[in-house]
Amino acid sequence: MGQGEIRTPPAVRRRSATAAAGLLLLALTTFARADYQFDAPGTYLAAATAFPAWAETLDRHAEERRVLENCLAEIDACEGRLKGLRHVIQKAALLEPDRQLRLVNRYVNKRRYRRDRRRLTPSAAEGGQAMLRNQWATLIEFMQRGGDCEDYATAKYFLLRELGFPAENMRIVVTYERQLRAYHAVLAIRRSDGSSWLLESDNTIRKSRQRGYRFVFAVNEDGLWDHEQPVPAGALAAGR
Amino acid sequence: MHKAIISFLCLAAGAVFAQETSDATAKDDDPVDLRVDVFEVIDVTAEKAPVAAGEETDPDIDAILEEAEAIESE
Repeated sequence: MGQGEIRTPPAVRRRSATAAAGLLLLALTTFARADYQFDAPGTYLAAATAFPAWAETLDRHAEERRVLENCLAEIDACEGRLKGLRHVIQKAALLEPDRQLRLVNRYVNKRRYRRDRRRLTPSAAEGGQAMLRNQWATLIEFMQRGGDCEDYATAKYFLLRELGFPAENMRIVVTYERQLRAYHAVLAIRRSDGSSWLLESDNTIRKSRQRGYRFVFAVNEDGLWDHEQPVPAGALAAGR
Repeated sequence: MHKAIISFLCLAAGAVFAQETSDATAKDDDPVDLRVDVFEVIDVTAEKAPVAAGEETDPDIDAILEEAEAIESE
């Protein structure tokens, strides 16, 4: 080392190393948070019934369960595309869970994309003023008519429920997709190792690198989660 | 006398109308309802067409999908 060279004091080097490690940790945390988190704190908003479009879909699906049960019991009871659905459910039952996910994803994605009608319904926040809202399809409605992205996600949800996947490990997640600059819906699956998979309508299953998404909200039979405005625990209860 | 009765009825009808109107325009400030309203008007329509190379191929799954398609087209 030359005489004119200035040496960095050890304390400064330690601080720099600590700062670099902190930045690295922050980057890793940010990356980890990019994946869908089922247990993100403060995101639970309300019961599923608080979201009318979804609650109505659950009610209609419950009414249609008998049609599906009859079809599964006897092929002659199946109308139109339900025969194919019956075949997929029966064959999928023989596969292990990961392959069930792949089969359901690809089967549902083969259905026709069709923008659904939006309907005018009163808004609570706008003093009863009518607002245009999305309609969410049941499995049978989707099989018969096709649908748009939230309908693909709901069809996968209902189909996997038929195969025994628990509701607590699945959510229909509405996202803002930065690349498309549009809102999109995917089905999120909670894995036993705590990670999440996203079943996409282009046949991919995103197991990580979900960074292109901004998660907005999510629903399943048990609840509604708000991923944009997480609230501190107890704040909603206190405000109600 | 008639004028008085008609005036009274008009006032009563006006009061009822005003009451209903004020009820209808009262904003719901429940935080859950406000957020649900935001969610419900989101137009979830991004279209992503299925791609063959989207997921690794699996001969068993391919076979099941082909069988299902054949059954549906019968």
